[in-house]
Amino acid sequence: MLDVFDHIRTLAKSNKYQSLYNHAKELKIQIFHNTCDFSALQLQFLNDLAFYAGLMTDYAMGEVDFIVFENTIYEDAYHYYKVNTNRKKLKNHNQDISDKPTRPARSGEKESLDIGSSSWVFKSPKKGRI
Amino acid sequence: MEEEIKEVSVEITPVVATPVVEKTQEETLKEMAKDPLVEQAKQKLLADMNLDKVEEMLQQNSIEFDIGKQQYRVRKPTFQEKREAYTVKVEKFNELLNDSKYELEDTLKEKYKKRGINVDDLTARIQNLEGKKNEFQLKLGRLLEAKASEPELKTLKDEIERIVDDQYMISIKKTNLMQFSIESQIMIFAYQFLTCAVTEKLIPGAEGEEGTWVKAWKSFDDFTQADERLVNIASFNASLLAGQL
Repeated sequence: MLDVFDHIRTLAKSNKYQSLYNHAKELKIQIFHNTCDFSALQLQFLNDLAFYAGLMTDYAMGEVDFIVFENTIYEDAYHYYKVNTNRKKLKNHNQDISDKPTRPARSGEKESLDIGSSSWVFKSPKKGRI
Repeated sequence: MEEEIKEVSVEITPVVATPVVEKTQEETLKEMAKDPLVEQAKQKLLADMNLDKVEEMLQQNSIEFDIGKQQYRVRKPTFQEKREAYTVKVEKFNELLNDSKYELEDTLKEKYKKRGINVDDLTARIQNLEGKKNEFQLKLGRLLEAKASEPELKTLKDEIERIVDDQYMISIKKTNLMQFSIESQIMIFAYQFLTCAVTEKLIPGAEGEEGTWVKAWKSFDDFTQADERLVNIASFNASLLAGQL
């Protein structure tokens, strides 16, 4: 029996389909003949394309070595680890936000506005510049 | 010190010319087939052929195949057909409930327990292995990110492979034990119903005209008496298109 899902992974990982997937939006490339009503097989393939696109981005960013593509066990393990780490980060971030006091400043208390990384938006232009 | 001189006898065996037997083409091919390189190339070719086939299957939401000279196709079930499958599934469930030949999963589990087989234990073992697998995956993922050495990665990979194999074996055992339950039977029935609904055969058109697709079987009874090979291929393809019911 031919192992369809293994082959689907191989196709999703291939340069041909990764390239099509990356350019599909800007060039309006159609991957399948049908544009809606996708079969379970096609939906699985789309999932696999996104999975490998994520892995390849991480490789391109230098977060992981090429060895990750050596077998599906490495690929799955790395993906599982990344999803878990990101989930933990998000949970901690949300916790930090909810821990911050939201009450209005009392009289005599200095009101501070935490604008964090977006502070560059309000920067005044440097002197000498128009 | 005197050296002992040993007599060395050399036997000279006459060289007999072995007759050169011409190998037949068949024998040469058989010998070539044993060559690991040829075997490797053959496997690669087969894999490529399968890859092409799967790529073709992906192109649209229907799969075409031939049995003999007849062309068939299995298409993705419509919402209406899925609803019909659900309805017949419920009807079949009620029918099997009144049939003493079949048991519900829970009753079957109790019967197995009396014979010393604990199905719930198998489920727990599968879940336990899943937990272990996830643990190893986290470790392996961390090592991959840290760009650890290959032997370190391989140890964890082997461990995960072993766990997956164990899970697979237990899962097969559990499926075999529970395949006669009412729940399993109605699932099989629903897939059969859907296969019958979505399989079509091509009636060739007149010269220059396209053929038309018509239902492969007139009724579900026809389907149950159809060629086994056709039913198996159609069922497999239908499950790929429909996914889980």
